[in-house]
Amino acid sequence: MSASQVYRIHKVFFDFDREEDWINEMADRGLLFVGYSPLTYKFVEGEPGAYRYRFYLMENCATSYESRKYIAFMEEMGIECVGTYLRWAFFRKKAEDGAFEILTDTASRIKYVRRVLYMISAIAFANLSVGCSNVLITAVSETPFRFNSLGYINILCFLLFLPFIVKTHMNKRQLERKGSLFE
Amino acid sequence: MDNERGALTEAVYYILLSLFRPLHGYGIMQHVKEISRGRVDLGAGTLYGAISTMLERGWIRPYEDGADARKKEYVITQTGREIVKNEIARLQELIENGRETIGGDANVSKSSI
Repeated sequence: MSASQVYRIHKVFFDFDREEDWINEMADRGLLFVGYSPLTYKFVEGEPGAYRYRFYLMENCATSYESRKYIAFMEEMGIECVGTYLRWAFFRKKAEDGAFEILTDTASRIKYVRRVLYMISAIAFANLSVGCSNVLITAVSETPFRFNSLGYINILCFLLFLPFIVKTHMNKRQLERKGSLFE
Repeated sequence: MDNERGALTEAVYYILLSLFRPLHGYGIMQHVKEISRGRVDLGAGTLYGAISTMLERGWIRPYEDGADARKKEYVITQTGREIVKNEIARLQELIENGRETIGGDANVSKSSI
């Protein structure tokens, strides 16, 4: 890639589907996603609509042997990996090559949705338990700041994740019902 | 020899058919799309999962002729050929039972089954 200005946009998403939609909307407008670090999305200018993006949660950390094998296979299939973050891989494919779906069979889709659901539920409920603990501990303390607690932020994070958890759970149920009839 | 009996998924069946000659992943995807007249468009992740499983079971094996080391090629094994033969026999039974049941329905042509 030739040297070009990197734009950094600070944003947070609690819904991975909306995050992916936003990345593709940016690509349609000529800003191509090239990397992620916490709360920061990096873009470079490019041809509007040239690429479609898919964010994929792998089974293992991106630096593991299995994940590197997976990414290498994707690249053999003409799918470029523009970056990784923890277990996430950010793939893109030229829009002119047609529709871009990583998983096309119901069984794999169910397995994938479960993986995403378990991960996000673990994060959300960890926030809820940490948040409630902090709020309770602060509330029973003798200090004048009994009702000030960072725990409320954790509880808020849990509430913000909840719609996506519910949506993903319903998606999983729908796929499982489909899987009982069709491949 | 794999003793399990059961329906193959469409993706696995078509991948096995594609590997009667050595092919790499992209070639398998293109070939399956071609022989299914565009109906079966395998996702790269689906293809990766199917290839991994079939390698573990010995239905296919890596094929190396040194021509292009960048793209791994695969080819069907004798076990894989037996699996395909069994699957075709199973599909044949399904088709025969279907045709018997439908009878002489003029809307069901040979090419649509």
